[in-house]
Amino acid sequence: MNSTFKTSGFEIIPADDLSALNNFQKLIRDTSHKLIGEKANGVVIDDLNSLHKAFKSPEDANSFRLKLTSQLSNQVDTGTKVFEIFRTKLEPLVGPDVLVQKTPNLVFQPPEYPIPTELHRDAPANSPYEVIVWLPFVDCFNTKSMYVLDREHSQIAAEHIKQNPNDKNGFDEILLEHAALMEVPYGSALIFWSGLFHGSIINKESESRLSMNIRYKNLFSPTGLKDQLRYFNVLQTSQLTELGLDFQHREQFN
Amino acid sequence: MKNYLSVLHEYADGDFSEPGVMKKPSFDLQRKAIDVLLQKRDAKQVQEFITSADQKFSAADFNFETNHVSGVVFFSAESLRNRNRDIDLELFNSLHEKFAEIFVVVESISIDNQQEYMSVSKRFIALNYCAQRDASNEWRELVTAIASKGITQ
Repeated sequence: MNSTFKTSGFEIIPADDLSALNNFQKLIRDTSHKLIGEKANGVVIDDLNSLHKAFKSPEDANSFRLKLTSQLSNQVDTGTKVFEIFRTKLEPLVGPDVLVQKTPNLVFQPPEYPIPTELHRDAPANSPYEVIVWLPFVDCFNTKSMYVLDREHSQIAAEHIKQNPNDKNGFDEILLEHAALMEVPYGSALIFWSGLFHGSIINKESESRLSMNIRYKNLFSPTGLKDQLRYFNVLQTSQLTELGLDFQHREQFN
Repeated sequence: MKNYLSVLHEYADGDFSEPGVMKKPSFDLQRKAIDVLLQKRDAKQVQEFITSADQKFSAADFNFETNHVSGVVFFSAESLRNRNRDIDLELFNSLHEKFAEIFVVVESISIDNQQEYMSVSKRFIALNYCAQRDASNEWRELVTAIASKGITQ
């Protein structure tokens, strides 16, 4: 894998299967428009960029997001679909024995939406052996996107907090200086390591951001504090792993 | 109408310290969640068990006439864990031998055929293996060595 992932902890990657992504984006547009009771005008990305026009309050927008999440989970196996769309980048990272987050997070950030994603990192708590796929269904740039602190500066920031737990200003300085807003055009995804600090700010652009984030890890990689049974499903296993697990099962019970 | 056993879990204080999980579920909440599953399957509960860290579910608990019982519904896989926090594979296997159907609400586990049983059983084997490895000194030493020297040395 010739990439910046190992050094930076993140990378913006193009879809292997753009046609599958387009179909997925259209499904999301169609489902969204059914929920808001409006007719789609034909250009999928325009419809999604304009979604905010259907909502009068942040509460309405959030309620829509929850309904959309639920409806999508009934219609499509998102974890498998996203993995298939970006397989050539994801499989070398997590290996052939793959766990996928059970319920992907759908994020809707209309312009001026007052609840951006707070700065955080997934690991610790989540396993440091997870990769997060952040998949926007529209073009994301400037404040419409999210920010990431790369591996080096996430480590510096983590050390700073450890040494100076009450120095929020010092931490914010590191963030302001080194956090980068990601430019992720539709047709691509941002993949990043669970140890990176990341978040978003209020969307000051004139378009809505609709995106999804979902996590993948290896079946045999260390788990972190998150309960693997509760949060992950098995997406696939290699033929060799199948033989090994079958062998262990027979040894134990036959 | 099918008959199921149900198994609730009494969480100790501090058990739900996992990030994102705000509180331990009450018995009322657990019963409601199990009721939803029972209604979906047109089934009723015939007996309720309660497990805790000190009171584990065991094969002896269902050592009674179970011919009229189709399955067992756990609120959480916590009820299937042993003192080391591993999934108790012997218990899980004995449940499968006794009952045609096993459900675990929180972990969305639904077993009503041999293929599903094998799939879940293998997942438990892998999970236990990883938990035992992660807790071992050998693993800790290996990780430390790799972190300091690099994986190829």
